[in-house]
Amino acid sequence: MRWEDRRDVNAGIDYGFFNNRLSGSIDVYQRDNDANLISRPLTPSTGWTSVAQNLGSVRNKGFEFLIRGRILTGTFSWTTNFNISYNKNEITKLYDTLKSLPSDASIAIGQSLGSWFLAPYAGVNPATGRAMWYDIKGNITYNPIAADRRFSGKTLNSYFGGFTNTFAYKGFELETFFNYEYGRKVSDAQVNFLSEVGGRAFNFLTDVADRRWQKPGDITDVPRPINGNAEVRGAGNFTGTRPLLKADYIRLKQVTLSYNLASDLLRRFKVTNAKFYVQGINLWTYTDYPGYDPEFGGATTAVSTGIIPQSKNVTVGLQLNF
Amino acid sequence: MKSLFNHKILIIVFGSLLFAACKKQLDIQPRQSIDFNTALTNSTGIEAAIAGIYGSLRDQTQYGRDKLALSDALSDITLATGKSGRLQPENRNTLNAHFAAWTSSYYYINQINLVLDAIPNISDATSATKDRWEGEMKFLRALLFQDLAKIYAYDTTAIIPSQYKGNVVLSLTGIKTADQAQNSRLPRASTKSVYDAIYADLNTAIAKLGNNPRNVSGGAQVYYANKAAAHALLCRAALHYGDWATVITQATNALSNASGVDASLQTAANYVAGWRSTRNPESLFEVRFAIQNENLGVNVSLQTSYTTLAALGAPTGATGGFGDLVPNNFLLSQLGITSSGYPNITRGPDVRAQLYEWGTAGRGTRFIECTKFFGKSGFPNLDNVPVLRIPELYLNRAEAYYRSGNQPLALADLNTILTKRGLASVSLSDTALLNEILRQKMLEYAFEGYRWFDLKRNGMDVNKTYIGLALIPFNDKRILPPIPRSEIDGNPNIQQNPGY
Repeated sequence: MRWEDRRDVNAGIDYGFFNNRLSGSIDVYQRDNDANLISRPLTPSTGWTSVAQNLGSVRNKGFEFLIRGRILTGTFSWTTNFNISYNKNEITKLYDTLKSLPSDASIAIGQSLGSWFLAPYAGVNPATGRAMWYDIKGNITYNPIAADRRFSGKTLNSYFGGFTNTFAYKGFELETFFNYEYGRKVSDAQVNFLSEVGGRAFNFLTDVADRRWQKPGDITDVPRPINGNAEVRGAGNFTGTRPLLKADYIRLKQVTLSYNLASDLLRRFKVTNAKFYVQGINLWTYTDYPGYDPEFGGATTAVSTGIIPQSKNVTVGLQLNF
Repeated sequence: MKSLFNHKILIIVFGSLLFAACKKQLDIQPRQSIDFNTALTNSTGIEAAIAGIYGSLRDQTQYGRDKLALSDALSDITLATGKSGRLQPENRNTLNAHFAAWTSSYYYINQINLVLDAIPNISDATSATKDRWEGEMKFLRALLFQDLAKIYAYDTTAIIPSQYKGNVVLSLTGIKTADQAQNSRLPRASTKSVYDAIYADLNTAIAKLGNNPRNVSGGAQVYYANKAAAHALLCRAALHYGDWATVITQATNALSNASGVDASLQTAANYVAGWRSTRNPESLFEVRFAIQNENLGVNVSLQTSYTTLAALGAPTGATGGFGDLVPNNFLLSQLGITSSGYPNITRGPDVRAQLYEWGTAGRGTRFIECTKFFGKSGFPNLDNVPVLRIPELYLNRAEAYYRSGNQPLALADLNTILTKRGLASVSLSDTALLNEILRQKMLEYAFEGYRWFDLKRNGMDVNKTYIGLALIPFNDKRILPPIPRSEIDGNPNIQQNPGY
């Protein structure tokens, strides 16, 4: 075993217009990692399951774009700062002449690491309430097999970035910071657990229960309740792409309103400066994600059970410097 | 200026030292390949490895749970309560919800093979010790192979030719390095070669352990491979192989050696007490769970799988385990248990019915539950697991006598079991006799994982109508489990079982 090799190609420009009131940078990169440590699967009947070896190559390419604007510069000032990054991860080489890794076919040339390789969910049969999937030919099946799996999204995001605005007027300053991610799909173990309508002797979510198939003709994505979450001679209800959730979000990560107290008043109390502020963290999130938190809804393992969601915080403070 | 110069030199020297250190770090062999190769060079290493292999039988996929609870969940005598949801898909025979013992079994088999390969080169052990090592390892290898064969392939006695894709992979030499593993492409062997290997291992074990048993006192012999257990396992293997003569001779040999490991068939009066003691006095071989470290815990241990009770006879007391798998109405009626609903329970003369009682309501609906496993090793969820008990020998021999046309002796063995369980002797013949032998095995070994294999071995359908599901005919693909995908993907010489 040895270190991985890495080759970077990078091009970037910094720009500024109108006396730098509008400025920013653009970066384009391609990063190749060779001799990646891959857990090479071995056939279990040998008593071995895998061995870590320097095999395979992965390419990351993308861009980073940043724009800063000093829009207003007078007594009332406004600066804004927006950035977006795009990254594409791609497996470019595996060992031997393999197109995909035996035992983990989601590791395949041309695909991103962390890809989902699953049979597509076809919804619920309106006549019977049974969950259905598509086989590899696009026909409906109740029992998707390994050969029916397709690439169905990835756990890595494609786009992410942030957006900051700062407004100032006299002693007041308001700063807002949004961040966002786009392009990730996760399976949330907790959401799945709470969506087993009648599968086990446990509680479940009302909205999922209300959406369940109840009578012939119902068009829905939630199959009829079934003991054990699987129809006889049918795959488990959570097989394939059914549990995949979009984890896209825009989040108001931080808002700070502060007021700098006038300094001549403070000097009398030997205070250099004083700042009164109110700060809110995670106040608002725009997302379709049904779980606790799209930001940490399963970064790598796609499991978020037991993870404490990020809290909303509001802090009120007074900062004094002597 | 001078001091700055010195400073620079120092950095360069330090930097190159670091680099050299890194190089050396990277030359270390990957950890997967050292354990066994460097450890198996002296008797201490071998003894430690052997202890580890005994411990491996505690694995959840082995005798920790699956070979008992999951097996009975698949069969026709249980009902999954869904209290934790475990064993529910298996009980409903959902496709792919099946045994998953392949990977762990072959991992342990390879460890056994490495020990066997290493034994001749050990210089600090007597030949008697080496014989004992070899006997113990071959017993365990035979146990793992026989379990694999009965799980993953059709038995000789009931084969569906169009769905038969070979028996299991027969790996008998140790694989030391990843390179060797990569080049190993063994196919599924024929049933004959698998059973020839099992017979050979057990005959070696019988010979070597007979002369050099492990020097432990009291009943502790049953925690290790021993001569009586090797005879008994060969009896069981022969039953699956349809070799009736061997079943009969080996059952007899095992019975005559049972007293050597302090084991005997219990009477009806002390049968229940046998199940309440740490070591079941009918056991010829048990997987030992002795210390709290070895506890599989409240999610998957056998006790939690079978019962919610925290104390026997206390259905209104505290709730302990999940009680995921309980006897279904068919098994209860066969055991002679009737109930008009909690707390009523009436038992017949069958003493085995006393191992079933009402559970708690702490996790939902109450059920009558099996209490064979009840923290007998001193902690909740910590129980020794009997692998070979004496009643099997009588019932296997009875079946073999029946199959070889000797019904009177078959009946005699059957009646031995009946009378030791508080039941009256019977006088049956022909199919009725065979059915009663199989029925007694079902009752004797309920919740010990036998029923599924007895149905399969006899080509019988699995009647799931008892729990409101469709009957599973013997030719259904769900009788055999899937071989793990990584085996199929990585080994072109292996054929998957049909339907997966």
